[in-house]
Amino acid sequence: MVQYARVTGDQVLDAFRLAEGWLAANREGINAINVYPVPDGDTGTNMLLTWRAALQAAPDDAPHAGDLLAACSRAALLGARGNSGVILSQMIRGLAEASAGQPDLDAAGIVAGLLGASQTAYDAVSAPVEGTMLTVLRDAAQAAEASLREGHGIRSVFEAAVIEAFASVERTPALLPRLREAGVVDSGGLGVAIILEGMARGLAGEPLPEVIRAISGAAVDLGGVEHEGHGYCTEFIIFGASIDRRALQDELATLGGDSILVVGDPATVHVHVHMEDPGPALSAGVRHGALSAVKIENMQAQHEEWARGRDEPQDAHLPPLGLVAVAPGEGFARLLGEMGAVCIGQDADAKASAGEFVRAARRAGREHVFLLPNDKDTLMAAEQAAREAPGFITVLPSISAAAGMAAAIAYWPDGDRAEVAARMTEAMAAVRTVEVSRSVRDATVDGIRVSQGDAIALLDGRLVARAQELEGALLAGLGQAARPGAEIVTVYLGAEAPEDAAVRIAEQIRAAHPGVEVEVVQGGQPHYPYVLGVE
Amino acid sequence: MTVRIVTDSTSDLTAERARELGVTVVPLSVLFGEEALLDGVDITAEQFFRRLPRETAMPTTAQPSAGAFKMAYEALITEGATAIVSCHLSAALSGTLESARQGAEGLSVPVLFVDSKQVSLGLGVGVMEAARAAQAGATAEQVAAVATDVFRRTHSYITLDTLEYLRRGGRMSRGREVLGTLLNVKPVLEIKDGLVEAIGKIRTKQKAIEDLLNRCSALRPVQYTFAVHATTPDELAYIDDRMRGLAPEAPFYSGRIGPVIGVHGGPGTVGAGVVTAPDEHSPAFLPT
Repeated sequence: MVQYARVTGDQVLDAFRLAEGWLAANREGINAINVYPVPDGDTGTNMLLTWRAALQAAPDDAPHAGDLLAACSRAALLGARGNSGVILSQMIRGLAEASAGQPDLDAAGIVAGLLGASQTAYDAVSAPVEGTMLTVLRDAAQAAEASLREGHGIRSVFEAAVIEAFASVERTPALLPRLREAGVVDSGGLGVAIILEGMARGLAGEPLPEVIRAISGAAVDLGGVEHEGHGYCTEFIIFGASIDRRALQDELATLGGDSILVVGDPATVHVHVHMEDPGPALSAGVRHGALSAVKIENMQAQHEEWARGRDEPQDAHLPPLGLVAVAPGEGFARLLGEMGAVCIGQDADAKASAGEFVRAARRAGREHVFLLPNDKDTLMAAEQAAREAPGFITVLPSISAAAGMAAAIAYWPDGDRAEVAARMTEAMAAVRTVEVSRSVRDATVDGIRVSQGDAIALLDGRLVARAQELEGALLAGLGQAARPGAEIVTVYLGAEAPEDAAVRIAEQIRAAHPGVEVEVVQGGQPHYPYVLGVE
Repeated sequence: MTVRIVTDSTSDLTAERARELGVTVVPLSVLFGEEALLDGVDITAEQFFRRLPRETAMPTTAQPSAGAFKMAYEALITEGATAIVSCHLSAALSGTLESARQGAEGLSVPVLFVDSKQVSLGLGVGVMEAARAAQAGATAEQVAAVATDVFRRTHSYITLDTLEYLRRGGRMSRGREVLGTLLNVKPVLEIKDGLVEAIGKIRTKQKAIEDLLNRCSALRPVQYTFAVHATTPDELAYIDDRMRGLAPEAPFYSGRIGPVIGVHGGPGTVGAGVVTAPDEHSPAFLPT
């Protein structure tokens, strides 16, 4: 194993070259999942071409790391392609600025470079969006920083960055709804992780794996991806004397531009903008200096071309079974989304309609879709939806979100429809739901007398316990729900749950039911501070 | 004519079993930061899983060097091997097989390579069968054909306590997109075409183990059954018991997952599998 305390310019160059190879090997996979900001399937290509442009500036051998990175940074600025490419060029620039003047880099220098790269990239984007390549690099840089603080060397620090980068990629659908809807991770973020992985191998002196990275959800259904009014992707370089980047950025925003990036230095600026009409963008640019390398692409045409290509999947196929679920709260939306569901938000005043169910089911883009209404008052709308789309929708009558979660966990997109439905139904039947709230009036329900303001617990919809405090009702309700052999209790914290509840509740449940696994997660549901699934 | 068998430490064969069958095991390495330990040599499964929870940084793994393979092959040649069959963990998951190929360059006897497209005892059972064929006097080509055929008939299923390790190791191919990160859902994984593919998810470990058993019992007729565990001997014992009930006629092999596979599966990893009986595609030469 290669061990060293510092890396030379030549080693950095090796790392860049290996990253190029690794990015090239994974380009198609990255292209295939490109849905944000525009689903046109070119993120992998743009990142690769930008990376190659940066490398073209590199000499055959590079004794000085700082000088090498400075040269790459400038070349990347000039050669950047597309939204992701421009952001990538800013990452290289941040790396270069952090290592300026340094002939070689130690672990601290590498961490500073990664943090600088992240910061510069964020600064380049007027309205940074999380769940993108920005997030992935930031998470990776912070993991590297943490590893450095623990006293690790270059190899481990970089390894930590790579591991976190891929973990962060996996989290992008939770942050960016469009990714979640399409069932993919962020393509630019994946590109960043791939680059870091390639660099880590290069720094470690290891060869590239023969096998390319397998990509989540490589078969994206574009029917499920919104793509209204893309207009033209317009890019150009401005050479000038003292270009005011901020002013130009504001002008482009005023002109109605989207995905605006204006990066570089006062003498050289790279502009990237999506506009319905590219003309005004060029006019705005020429007021700041001489234009060069103007590139205008019709994104709608690009998207359509890509979408056509996607009709004939090569080795990937879209799994046949989809899932649509009502999510009563942000937390449930995330949880259900992670299980592969297209979620419909719902609150007490506006229950999901049959039409919404049908639309969501179509958006899932599958041969057949399971519906989880997750509420007895929504069940009828779901059944109506199934009647409107016969043979396409199967309703699994989940009457609580906890039961719906159990079914969603058992959901699998590949497989025999009847078998998957049976597994989901079985999982749903195996969970008992405890809902904890406060009574809104005096009443006698299910034989129990409650006063307004009492804490109450419902077991599968039936009132089974009352108490002074919510937690008392929770434990009483759970006491009735937990059959012998119960393995796990999942606590979904409602929007009104006290902030410090998670740890305390878990401890109380473990004390009352030793041997039972307890997991506490955010459900975000209204009205019920605690919902429990017991199975 | 003496055909010898070489495999790697991810086969999870015990030292005694390997010795009995005359199998040479070349270790991969597990790396804690910059500390490199040879799988099963410098660190046992017991030591590894005791140490793992105390580590702040994730350990990583490294394939054996070409030189390590070269030394192993040369030692066998010195002992009189006239041919070598080298069976390894899935080349889609590791560069080990590639290392082995490089290590065999320039040797004076032929070395045949078999990509098991498997891991752990999914590899180990085929290696044992290959070793028996070699002991029964098969040629190197026959031994390689036997091993290839056993691997073709091997079906391995795995479940994990946590997805954390597999995710970090990046060794899962399909199915990741619906496993989630917020809830501790137990994945059901299958080794398919040499890759780790998620094929299901289940809320509790106990139900996940039942699912492995159901999947195994759907495969008939059975030649061998096998199961492995990382840190849960009780679960292994339960699977053992159930497997013997499901296929009383089939020999059952059990083992413990070593450090390298342990890095990717983590504590609580459990695997179960089946080798279905030889069929019309199986080679004529099979040891009995």
